[in-house]
Amino acid sequence: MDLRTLASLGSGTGYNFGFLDELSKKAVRRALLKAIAIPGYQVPFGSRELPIARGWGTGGLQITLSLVGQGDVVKVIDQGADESVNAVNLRRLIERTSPGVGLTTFTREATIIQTRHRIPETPLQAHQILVFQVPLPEPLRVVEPREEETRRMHAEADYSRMWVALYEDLVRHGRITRAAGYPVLVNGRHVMSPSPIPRWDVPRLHQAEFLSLFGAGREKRVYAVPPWTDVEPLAFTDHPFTVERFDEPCARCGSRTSYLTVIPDERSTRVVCSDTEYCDEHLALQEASR
Amino acid sequence: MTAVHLSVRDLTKRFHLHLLGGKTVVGFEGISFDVAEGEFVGLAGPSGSGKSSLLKAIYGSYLVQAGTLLYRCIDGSIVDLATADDETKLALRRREIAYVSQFLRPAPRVKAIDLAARPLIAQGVDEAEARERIATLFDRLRLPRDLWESYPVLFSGGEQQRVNLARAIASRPRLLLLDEPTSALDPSLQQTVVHLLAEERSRGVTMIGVMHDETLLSRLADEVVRLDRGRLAQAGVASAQWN
Amino acid sequence: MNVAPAGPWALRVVGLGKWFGPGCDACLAETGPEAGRSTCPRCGTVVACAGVSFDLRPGGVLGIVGESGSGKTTVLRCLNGDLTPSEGIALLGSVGGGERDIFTVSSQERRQIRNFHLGMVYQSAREGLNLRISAGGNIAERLLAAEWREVAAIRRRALTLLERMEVPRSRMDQPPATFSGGMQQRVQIAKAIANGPSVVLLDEMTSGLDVSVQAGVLDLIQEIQRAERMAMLVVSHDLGVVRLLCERTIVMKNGRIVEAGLTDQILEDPQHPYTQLLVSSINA
Repeated sequence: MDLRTLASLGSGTGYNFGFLDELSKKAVRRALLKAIAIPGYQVPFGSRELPIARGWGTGGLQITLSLVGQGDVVKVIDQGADESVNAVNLRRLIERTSPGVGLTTFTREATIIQTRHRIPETPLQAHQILVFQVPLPEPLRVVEPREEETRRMHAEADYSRMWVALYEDLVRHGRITRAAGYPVLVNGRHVMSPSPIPRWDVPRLHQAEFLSLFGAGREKRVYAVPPWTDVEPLAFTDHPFTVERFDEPCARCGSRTSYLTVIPDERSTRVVCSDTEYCDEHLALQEASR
Repeated sequence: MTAVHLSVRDLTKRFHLHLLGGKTVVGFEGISFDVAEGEFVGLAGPSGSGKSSLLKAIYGSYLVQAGTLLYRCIDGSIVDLATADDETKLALRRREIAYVSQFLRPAPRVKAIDLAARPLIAQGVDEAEARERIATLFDRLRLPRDLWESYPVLFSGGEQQRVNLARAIASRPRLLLLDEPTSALDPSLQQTVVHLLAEERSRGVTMIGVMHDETLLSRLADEVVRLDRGRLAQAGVASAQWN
Repeated sequence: MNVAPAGPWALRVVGLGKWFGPGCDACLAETGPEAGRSTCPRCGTVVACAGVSFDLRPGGVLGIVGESGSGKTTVLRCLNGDLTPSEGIALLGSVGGGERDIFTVSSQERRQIRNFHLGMVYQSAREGLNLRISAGGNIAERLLAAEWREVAAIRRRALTLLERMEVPRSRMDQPPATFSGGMQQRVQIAKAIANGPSVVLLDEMTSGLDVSVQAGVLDLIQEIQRAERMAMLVVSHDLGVVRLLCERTIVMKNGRIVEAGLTDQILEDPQHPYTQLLVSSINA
């Protein structure tokens, strides 16, 4: 497909297909290939301007827009919800600038899933790509403010200060209090931030069947976890990593096997599935079997 | 006929004092004598005759300008102490050669008994046994028991000297270098030290000692090497031979 | 990382040189103790050290003395990997069978060597410690770097070390920012030796302390050195420190070694004019 054809595809919108120009998309894809080749390593890229503000998912969006083609089906979630304002806006932008690309809320139908801070409950498969929106890509920033120094630490695999931060947390609080964005060691080499996903989702990145791509637009970094890669949360042998536990099932669908979130209701609060699509499906299945 | 333990030949020590416009001071010159295994050789002579310098040259604290210091090690090998490298000298100090200086320069916070036991422990002797050996020697040297666990920096000269002696003797050296080991002691303690050193000699320890008290020296020494202004004034007849 | 039994030496340094600047043909001839300067008058290059060679036996203690600017700290920093030397070779008995030049390995391997085989005590506790995290956490950092992953074991080791360095048990979970200078240095020593390194590098570790406090720190170092049988390289401008700790001493001036020998020989029978000056000034 040459440029002229591509441009004509988007002619109805006045934008190039996928909003970004082809060279920019190519640059992003090249950065992604490098990221896949070095699992967990943050690859700098020339983050482009988009009609949304930096910090609102521009990193993930640039990855999605660089990858989508005719026949792709895109799903966008925000903290597990398909219908949040942010998710709806991003979906609409993709829809309007990428004619011919399908959009869905069903995890199983999607080829690319762009997400903010969750992994869908429905297990992903080898042909699906998960694109994370990342606010702060540098896991070492909490212990070291200088960029030059964090790069040196990654280069030398010098992660003792990260470990000390966990040790101190443990000594002070009796447990590691870090909840979202728990640091992980990827492929036994690079410490990586999995983006602010809950602990619940962290083990699901380990030896996953699918490709995970991470984009930080404001910080101009992409990184990746290829399929079948070791992703181990940093933990101590006598204080192993644990995920969130829920005492009650989902107040809506009754699921006991999904990550739950608290939503304030008019009268009280309700604890329900964070993944709305999963919750709907689970509810439908239960009603059907009744 | 006993084997020679240390053979000193034409040993010369000069000090080049760069701070005094390169002035040269002779410590001793052309000194030769032999020390047989198990023998006590006394060094005598007036102050400034080079006795202590000679002892320091043998121990390695002074570098010599000429001559040799052939030393027979326990394994029979012969080392020239005048030219030996630092590690060889250190190894000999750890295992074979001990030096009792006139003054002790103790580490400020180490207890007397620990200070004296250190060389033993470094040799691999169990800590309890090392302390026991030192305790026996302290008792013999009549070092008051309340001082054992105290700091030698606070001790009198005589008390320090006894710690020093116990430290050197306990490590069971083959060659013991003594620089005025009794100078700060009262006469009755001096007798004790002479007895102790005589015992060591009878156990086969070779000794070279500087003592200004000729009466004490004559009671211990098999031979006396007399120095005068850095030169050999008179040496005893060698009773040993270098084979 | 292959850890071979320590050879006849724990550390061997051959021809270490470090200069700052472009360098020219005259640099070496125009600097040094005879020239009385470290800066090349032709090109302005600072020759911080040149032609520095020595061996340190396993369990031995070697001192490097000299005034500030003599290059002694540069030697230490090159060995620790804080500076990249301009020339020379350094071998550790415990790394690669003593045949691996630690100056030319990758930065990642260098880090490993630093984590497993070396310990460094800096002049300022601020440099060697993170004063905001706990004393135990500082020691834990070294252990974690050497891949300790059991918190209980880490805390046991940290506690043992702190108690040996006479830091009260109750201080373990407090940040050293609240400690006295002497106690901070003792924590730094505990941290440096935590992994049982084969060589510990000490840079003027008692210079900032009161004399009475100094003595205590030096005694503890001596005790722990004996107990753990580590080799130590002690850099100090203070001959008193060297007399107490070191069996052998190197004297440096203007980036060169001017004299090396047994410590008692250096102190009692110094050969080089500079050493004689140095010794006479402490005895005065």
